[in-house]
Amino acid sequence: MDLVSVYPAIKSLWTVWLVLIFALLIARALRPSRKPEFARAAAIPLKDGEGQE
Amino acid sequence: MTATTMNRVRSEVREDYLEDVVRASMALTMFWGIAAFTVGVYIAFQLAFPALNLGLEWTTFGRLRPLHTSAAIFAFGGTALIGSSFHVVQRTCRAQLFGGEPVAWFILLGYQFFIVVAATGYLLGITQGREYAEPEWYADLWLTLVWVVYLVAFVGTLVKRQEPHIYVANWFYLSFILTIAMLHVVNNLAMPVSFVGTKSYSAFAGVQDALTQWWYGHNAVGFFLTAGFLGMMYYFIPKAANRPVYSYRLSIVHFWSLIFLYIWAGPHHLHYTALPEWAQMLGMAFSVMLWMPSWGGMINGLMTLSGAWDKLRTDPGLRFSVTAVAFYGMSTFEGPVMSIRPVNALSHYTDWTIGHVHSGALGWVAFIVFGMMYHLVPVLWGRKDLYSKTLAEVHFWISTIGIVLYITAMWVSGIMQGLMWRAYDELGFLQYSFVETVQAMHPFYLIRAMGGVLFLIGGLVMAYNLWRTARGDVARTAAA
Repeated sequence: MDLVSVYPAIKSLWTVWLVLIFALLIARALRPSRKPEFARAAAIPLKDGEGQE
Repeated sequence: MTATTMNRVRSEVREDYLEDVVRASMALTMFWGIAAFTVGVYIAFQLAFPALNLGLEWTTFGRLRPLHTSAAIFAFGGTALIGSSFHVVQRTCRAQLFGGEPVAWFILLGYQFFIVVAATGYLLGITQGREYAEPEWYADLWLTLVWVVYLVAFVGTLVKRQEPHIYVANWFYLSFILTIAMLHVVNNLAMPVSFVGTKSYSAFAGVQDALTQWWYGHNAVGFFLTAGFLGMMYYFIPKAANRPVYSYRLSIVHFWSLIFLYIWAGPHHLHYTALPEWAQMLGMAFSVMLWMPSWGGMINGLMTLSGAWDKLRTDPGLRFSVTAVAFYGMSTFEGPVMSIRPVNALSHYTDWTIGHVHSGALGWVAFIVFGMMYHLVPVLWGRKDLYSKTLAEVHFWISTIGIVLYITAMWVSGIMQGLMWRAYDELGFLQYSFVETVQAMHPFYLIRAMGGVLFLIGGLVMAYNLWRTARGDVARTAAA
């Protein structure tokens, strides 16, 4: 087995990487410890001073 | 911090926001909306009455149709996106737009110049013949410059933000700006015949060209007509409802799922073509998977009103936004169904596709823009409320009936058309000639055109209402 013969398999590994990155991003979003941070973030549009003039 | 200090900080910050450019973008959006709807109505009548082509090459359906699609998507939708993104990014970052007034005006006016160059080109017969990317090389180069400046201004504002977190609406706006830059550059790679002529040849040919075009085309739907307007949804619905988004976590899952899935869906436009079957299946599979994030986003938008549904009775702008989200759910359900190969065998090349596009364009895109404008125009011009809520309600109902007429006519017409094309008699001959299918569609063309007329009238009512709002007038019924 030489490098040329394993190249197609290695080349297609990026799909696995993409799935892993996606899974990590989703897992990070779903972590229960982020609840307070998300509650603060969700309130951002409501305290932007629009209509205060 | 005391209330007085808070108000002082707010007013100091407020003075820094660029609002003239956003106000101008609202007026331009309204103008382009009316223009796009008018041309749409005219070409709808052309299909019913071909004499309206007038026997002139400049007014043929072939030239006016890209004028309509570009005016609707890029002029009306694009201007609304640029203006609203300027407003949202400044407010949610608590920072003035990066580059200040000159950069903001360059982006808005540079984009308008692109639209005018592209649109006049279509009428003169100058086109690349690429769906949703008809402008020729010189217009494409200009748009690239404007778009890069837009990207720099947007990212620059995010970098200098006072708010620690980047609000999710900005993620959607950024994905729209970034992905459109990539799609535009790759799809328009071309060699001009001469630097003083308009004609160019694409860098791609054959099935690679088809795939590049639909990689661009479907992601224009995904990132221009979906992601950008979702940015609008995630800011203006919470704002109008005065409640935070139902689930911020779901908004992040919605974002990443759309980003990872949408980019693969383009091949569903090339079913039963020379494109390898595995690529067609890939496009179909990813389109079906898109159901989940789309409906997650729809639920998130709708549930933001949980506990505040009564506002739908009193706030016509919010009613537009929420109906838009319902249409988003409906058209993102229909799209994956149509991407399934056996369904596509019936639906492709028929009016069903046109109906699907318009349930998205009129129901989702236009309605979310209307909702945004009914909220933003009074805010930008410092008015307490709209000139007339009654007129906004008239607009809502007249447009909704217009959309329903349009899409139901196209469903019936499209499915009938597909069934007539594939009907065989007992000897194996095609049962209908092509012209018989066209004749059968005539009544539905008329119904569709009438739906368009209603939508246009609604747009004119809105323009009048917003103009009076900007002037500071109050309708007698509202004042009473």
